[in-house]
Amino acid sequence: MAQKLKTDHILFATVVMMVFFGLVMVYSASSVMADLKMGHSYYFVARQLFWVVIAVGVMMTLKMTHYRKLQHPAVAFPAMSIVLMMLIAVYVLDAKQHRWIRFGFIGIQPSELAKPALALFLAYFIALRARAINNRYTLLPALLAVGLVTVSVVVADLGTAVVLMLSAATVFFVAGLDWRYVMIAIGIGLVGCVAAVAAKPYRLTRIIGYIDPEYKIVYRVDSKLHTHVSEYLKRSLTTKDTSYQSEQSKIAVGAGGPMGQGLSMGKQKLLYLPEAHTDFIYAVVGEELGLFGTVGVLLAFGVILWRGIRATVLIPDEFGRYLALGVTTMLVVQGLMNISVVLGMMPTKGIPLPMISFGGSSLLSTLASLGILMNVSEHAG
Amino acid sequence: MEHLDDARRKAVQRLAWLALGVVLWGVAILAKLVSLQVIHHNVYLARERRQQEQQIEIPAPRGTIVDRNGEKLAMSIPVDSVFVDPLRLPDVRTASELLSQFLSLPYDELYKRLDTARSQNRGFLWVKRKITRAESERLHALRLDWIQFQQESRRLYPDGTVASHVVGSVFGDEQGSDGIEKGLDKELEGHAGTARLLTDVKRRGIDLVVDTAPQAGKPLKLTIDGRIQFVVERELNTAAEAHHARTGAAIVINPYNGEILAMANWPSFDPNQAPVTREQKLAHRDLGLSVPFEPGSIFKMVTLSAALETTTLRPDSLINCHNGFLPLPGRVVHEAHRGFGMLTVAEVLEKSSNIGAIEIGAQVGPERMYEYVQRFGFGSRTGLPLPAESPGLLRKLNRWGTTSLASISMGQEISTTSVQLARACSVVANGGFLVQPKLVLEEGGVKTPDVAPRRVIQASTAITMRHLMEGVVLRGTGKAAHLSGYTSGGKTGTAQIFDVANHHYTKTYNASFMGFAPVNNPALVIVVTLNGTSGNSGMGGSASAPAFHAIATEALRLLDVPKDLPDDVPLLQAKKAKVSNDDVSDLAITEVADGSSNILEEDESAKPAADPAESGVNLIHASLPQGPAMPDLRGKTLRAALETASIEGFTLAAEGSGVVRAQSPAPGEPWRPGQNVSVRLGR
Repeated sequence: MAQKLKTDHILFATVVMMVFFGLVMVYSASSVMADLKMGHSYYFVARQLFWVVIAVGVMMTLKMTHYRKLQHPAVAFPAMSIVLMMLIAVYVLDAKQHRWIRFGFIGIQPSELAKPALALFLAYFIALRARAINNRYTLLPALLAVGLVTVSVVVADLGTAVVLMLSAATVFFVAGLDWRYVMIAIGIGLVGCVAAVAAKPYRLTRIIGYIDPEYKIVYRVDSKLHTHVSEYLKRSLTTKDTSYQSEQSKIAVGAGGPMGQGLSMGKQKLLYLPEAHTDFIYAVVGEELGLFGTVGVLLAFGVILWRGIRATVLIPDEFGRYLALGVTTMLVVQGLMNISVVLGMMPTKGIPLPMISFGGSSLLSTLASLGILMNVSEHAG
Repeated sequence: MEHLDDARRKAVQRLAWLALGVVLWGVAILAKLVSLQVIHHNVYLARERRQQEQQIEIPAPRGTIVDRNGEKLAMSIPVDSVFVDPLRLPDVRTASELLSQFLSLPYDELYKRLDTARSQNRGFLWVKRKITRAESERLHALRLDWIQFQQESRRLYPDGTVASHVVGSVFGDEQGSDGIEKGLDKELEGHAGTARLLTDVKRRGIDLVVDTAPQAGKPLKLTIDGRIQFVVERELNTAAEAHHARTGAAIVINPYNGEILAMANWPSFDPNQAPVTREQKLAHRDLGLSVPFEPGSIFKMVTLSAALETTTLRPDSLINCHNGFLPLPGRVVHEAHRGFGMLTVAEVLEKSSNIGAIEIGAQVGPERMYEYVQRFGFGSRTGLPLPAESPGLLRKLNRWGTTSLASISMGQEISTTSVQLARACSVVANGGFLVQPKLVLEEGGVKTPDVAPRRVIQASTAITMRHLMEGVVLRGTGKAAHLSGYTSGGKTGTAQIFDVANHHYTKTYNASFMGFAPVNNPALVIVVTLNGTSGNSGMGGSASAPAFHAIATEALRLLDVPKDLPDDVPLLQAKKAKVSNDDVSDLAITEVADGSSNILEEDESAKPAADPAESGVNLIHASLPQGPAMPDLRGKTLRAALETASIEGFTLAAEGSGVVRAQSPAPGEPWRPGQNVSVRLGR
């Protein structure tokens, strides 16, 4: 334990580069809008820089903290409880969006913090019950914990809920969940999807808009069955222009071309592209830096996946394995989902691109997770 | 441990499947990226441009027009135009009230326009274009961000009416509507540049990328001399008002190179004001160029030139003028006032005998007459860069009737423009060359090429004609054109205006005078035409010749033309203002050949009076200070003439062979040492 550990330089360098790159892109994507709305162009990038300092501090602390110190009920349970409490509190404190808890000028999104907390809790719990993973006394409490977190996130932030569930499912699956339970999980997932669509009708429009953008099938169905689906869809489209964001981000990425238009030369961020500095920052990367930028970011997530899987496979203990797997899954799934949304391959979800998008909570949770992963990776040799 | 290893192997296996899934997901993303950014890049780039960029035109400044001295006749100055985005107006009523007050627009109309634009979701509406400086300053002072300005340019004519018919005017977005502005619109307008205005989602401009820079229109330097132009307009105005003319035109041209120094029409117009009334619109017409008229007696210059070249007639040949009564098939031709018995050719021109001209024309014959009319440039456009130039009317020879030759000989059955007359008179003035009238001296700083003049009559003919036309001024119908300090020549013309609707000649005239000065080396040719004059005072010699006098006096002074007569000729001064009734006799009286009636259209008010001109002119010459008199070279051989020239000290320019038939200056005239004397020899 006392021996000098070798930092995972590949992972560390990648993360540092991505965080720095994120700062540049946040400035590029937000400066014009910040100037118009806030009066000065550094508004967003300054706030991001503030969070980078805090988040890097947290990351370095966790990187230097032995991950096994986290394998303790006094860490796993309070982390989970605090996040759950915050998730419930946010309903009251943020009556509109149920997303933000504000302390002065600092705002925190509990749903973001739920990700490392859940990863930590699952790793602790599965490591504890590894031999009896398919036992109902293991599964029911785990399901309860995952269910509680997911349900409290899902109303405000469907995207994050999906990330949380996928990550939990991955951890259980790798931990050796019976196919029986896997099937049940898939079943629950499908029911959840139907429920989510039923809860907000515009989601159906989004999905149909994704599958059948010109409503060819919809019209055929209407004419055969004498239904009025197309009218319903059109009505919901005029109220919530669902395809607008996705169209604008595709235009941005496509217009960037192989070489890009040059850093800060992108035009789509001039209020055409909503959320250019947050959820759609990848589109700005695509427009300004072209295929080099987009593939570069994709490769960075590939590096995280590689280092994460390597740590998962090589780490000797179960806690470390599921911890590494949990955080890796969350980061990579969130990254790929964000990119897929930007490229119009998935219906729009409100999730940021880890390490790059503007947003303090996301950065904090991401870098905390990466700090843990780095420490695990160091111990994996 | 075996169990553990087994569990671990299972975990790695499952992990591998999941990792494979994630990698496939990444590959799908990569494929999508290549599709978007490489394969369909152009499609998305075009879509991005379409939604973000507004193609806008950068107007090119229109070329400035200056006169030959560099004085600005037309220039473009930047002015503001006001527009709003109707969708961004805080309140349509307030906005309409404010803008209508500040820009003096009717409130109701503006409100309606704004409201309509708003309801149609239009994001752009001109409120008022090309506002005044004061309006612009007051609006700018409001500092309201929804009032937006676009710089445009307004055409300004600093001298107002001066040269308005030459320069013309513009309408709308500085498009030429008449004059040079229209004729050379392409050269003046330049090429508008294009730029892409990058806009954000609210159509606010963010950045401007210039694709092609605007190319300014070419500046033009005209041959017009603003000073002479001013004089011409002033004198034309005076003459037209004094003689109650309907319209008038005057032109001053350099006979050697065809440069038009001044060209004016009356009534004039202010190109700074858009024409509103019918009268104002009519005033925009360039009558001197686009409305041909029957030239009348002026045309006898052509008849005589043709006769000198194609017949044996000389200036002193006698012509039977039939005592003022000449029956022709279908009509009878009378002189205007009194009949003449026998006149010399020179006298036919001086007294403007119609019958004499017909007799001379008859000797020329139709074919040669037709050829000479064409040689003098009638029936074809002069090619000035002005719109709507008329070629005049010259019937083809095979369509001439039995009396056409007679009519044309005295300037009927043919119509000409003032510019054509100026060009024809230049032929005589410059020694026999048909020049191309020229209005543009420099285009874009580059001198416009000169068209080489074409010789159409012999030099000797031209010189003879000059002196015959000087006779008109000295002894004939054009005495009012006699200048102080300069010799001058010319021809009067008074054509009855033909009423096309009622098919008869009216009692109103086209009174014209064309002339040149000085006689031996003419610096100027001036044509003055007044349309719609009447009575004795409305004839060429009495209405237009004085205008010629006034214009020539000022123009020759302005151009520093050396005087060729002593200034102080009191007798001449005394005579100048007096108009003799002889002037009247240039009226081309005729009756329409419908065969039914032959009414003599005679001006009854004109009372024949004794003509003091003959003795008067002799007195003038008698009173001249006795300088060296030009010896009579006529009848001498070339060798003898050259001998005389070397003894007397002038240089001789000879043409032809045989003995000297004509000379210029004429025998007995004063001459300056070293002067060029031209002689024409013949057998």
